[in-house]
Amino acid sequence: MLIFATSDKGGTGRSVTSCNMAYRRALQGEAVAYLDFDFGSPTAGAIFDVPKAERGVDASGLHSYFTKHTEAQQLDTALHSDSDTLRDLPRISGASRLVLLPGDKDGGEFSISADMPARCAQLFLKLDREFDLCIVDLSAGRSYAVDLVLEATARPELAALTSRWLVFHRWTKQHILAAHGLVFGEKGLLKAGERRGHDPQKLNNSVRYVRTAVVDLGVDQESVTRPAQGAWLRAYDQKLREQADKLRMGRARLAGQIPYDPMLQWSEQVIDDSDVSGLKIANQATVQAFEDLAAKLSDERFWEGL
Amino acid sequence: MSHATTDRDPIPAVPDDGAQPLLGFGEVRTCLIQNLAGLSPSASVALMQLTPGSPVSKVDRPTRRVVSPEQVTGVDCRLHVAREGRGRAIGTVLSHAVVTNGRILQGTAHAALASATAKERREWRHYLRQPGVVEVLGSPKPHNVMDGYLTDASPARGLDLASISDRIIDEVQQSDRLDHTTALRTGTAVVRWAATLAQEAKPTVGIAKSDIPNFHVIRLNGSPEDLPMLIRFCEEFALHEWLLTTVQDVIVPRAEADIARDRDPLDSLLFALNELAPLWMPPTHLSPDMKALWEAMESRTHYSRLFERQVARIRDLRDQVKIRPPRRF
Repeated sequence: MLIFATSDKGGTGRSVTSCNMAYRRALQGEAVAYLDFDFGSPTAGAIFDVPKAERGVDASGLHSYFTKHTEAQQLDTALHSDSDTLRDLPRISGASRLVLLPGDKDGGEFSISADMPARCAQLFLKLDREFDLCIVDLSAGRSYAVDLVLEATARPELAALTSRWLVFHRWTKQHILAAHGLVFGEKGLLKAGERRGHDPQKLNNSVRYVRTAVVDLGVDQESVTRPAQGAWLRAYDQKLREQADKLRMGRARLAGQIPYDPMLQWSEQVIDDSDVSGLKIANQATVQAFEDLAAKLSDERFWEGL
Repeated sequence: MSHATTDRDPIPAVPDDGAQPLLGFGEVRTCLIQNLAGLSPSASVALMQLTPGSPVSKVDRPTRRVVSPEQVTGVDCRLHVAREGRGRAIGTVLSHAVVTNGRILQGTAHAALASATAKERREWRHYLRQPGVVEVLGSPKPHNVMDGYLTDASPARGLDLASISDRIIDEVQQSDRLDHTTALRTGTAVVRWAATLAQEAKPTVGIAKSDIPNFHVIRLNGSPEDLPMLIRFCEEFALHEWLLTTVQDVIVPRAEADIARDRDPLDSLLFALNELAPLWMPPTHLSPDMKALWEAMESRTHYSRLFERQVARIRDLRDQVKIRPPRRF
């Protein structure tokens, strides 16, 4: 299965959420490949704490795979990460592998040449032979990377593969509108997909939304101290829900809701239960949200046509 | 290196003006064909028809083995030489694909290295007359060239047989004759090998340890005439190594995890028993030399015994599931 993670704006927590989602799936026994398609500024290496890929690798990253026709190197996070959480993954019973396909250090965006979509499809096919799940982290906004994967997934050799899209946005009026534009706008995913041979109806059915940095009114008592503040927040939250519903981004299409977690605001990293129960630096609700989002990826009833 | 005349050689490994090869290099990649069902014999033959008009070879027993025509790739590159010395490699690399029982796909790239027949690069038609021969300009010591090749890191420097064997796998897997559905998720295993070739040398084999998962290194000896047999040995080793790794590291641990989590592991267990276990067929029937090589390898690795044990474990797991099926919610 291919999961494309995208967002209209930067700073939504798309990458850190996707990395954690990847970790949860690997923990549950699925072989996971994480592809850093943010060619301009690869970040997954830093989140997975892989020193040699912190800002992308020196050679044979995904950028060079497309522009220089080199092999795309695969870094098993259990071997290359400095994070104890990831290094310990193979020792957990029933867990599988989490492999990073990093970007290149001096990558940058590139325009799509004629052979790239076929090369992209070839890479996805090859990874599908080995991995249960491929998470493709696309850069924020409309990029060449988005066009590239839309064109690749429209190719006949990928017809048998399941592709799903997660659109990340913060829980604000502007972010909801921006995410809506990214999918339904004139230059949005659906229109761009249709031009490349996708059925827009089917494509829309493969899109779900993830709300990030959501203030949880039930939990965050410390930050909500005055009654008037609480009342206003609840009312505004309701307004945002109505807005999302109107824009076809309501509950039925909600894949996950990631609570605001101070730790992740400062340190984008993969967290596990020991960060919650042992060190108590992350919130249980955050880990639970990652877990729920990871479970949703393969919940067929949730992905059925709406 | 002398310009050996071929009069004394009963079977010249290279045409008239070529030198005798000193080294044989190769790389074999093994993976599952990306198709839900196993391919029929005729579908296997069609898939291996990489060059229209050239014959596809097919053997039905003991396992069905269909081999594509050899593809020719021109190379002109610097060699990656260990320790000291430098050299330039010019010539052609051969590559072919193999389908076993309509399920397993292998991509093999190989070349015989010989000293150059001239001090400078010759016209391409000279190299094209000896497909599969790479001439080495300069005079690095053969054992340094061999170590340089075998220990070369990925991404490859020098003579890049890895990319050539990888490309042939990708070419086949992209074919529109396949439905591109993955029947079982497994890795691609790589076997890199090098053979020291000398007249009248007896074929021998040594398997080196490798720290990289799914990557194996083999050193061989033999005479230049043994080269086709050594290539076949490496393909057979790669196939059996892949089978063992797949059942031991993929199917059994996954089934155990599935059972622990009340998920149904039966599909992959039955796949292993019905599709993979019957492919264990050591090539000892091919020739006395092949038999000797295989037995030398077995005496150190005990692969057949390990495989039998894994298959027995798979039967146990299958029986457990039959007695106590996973809970269904």
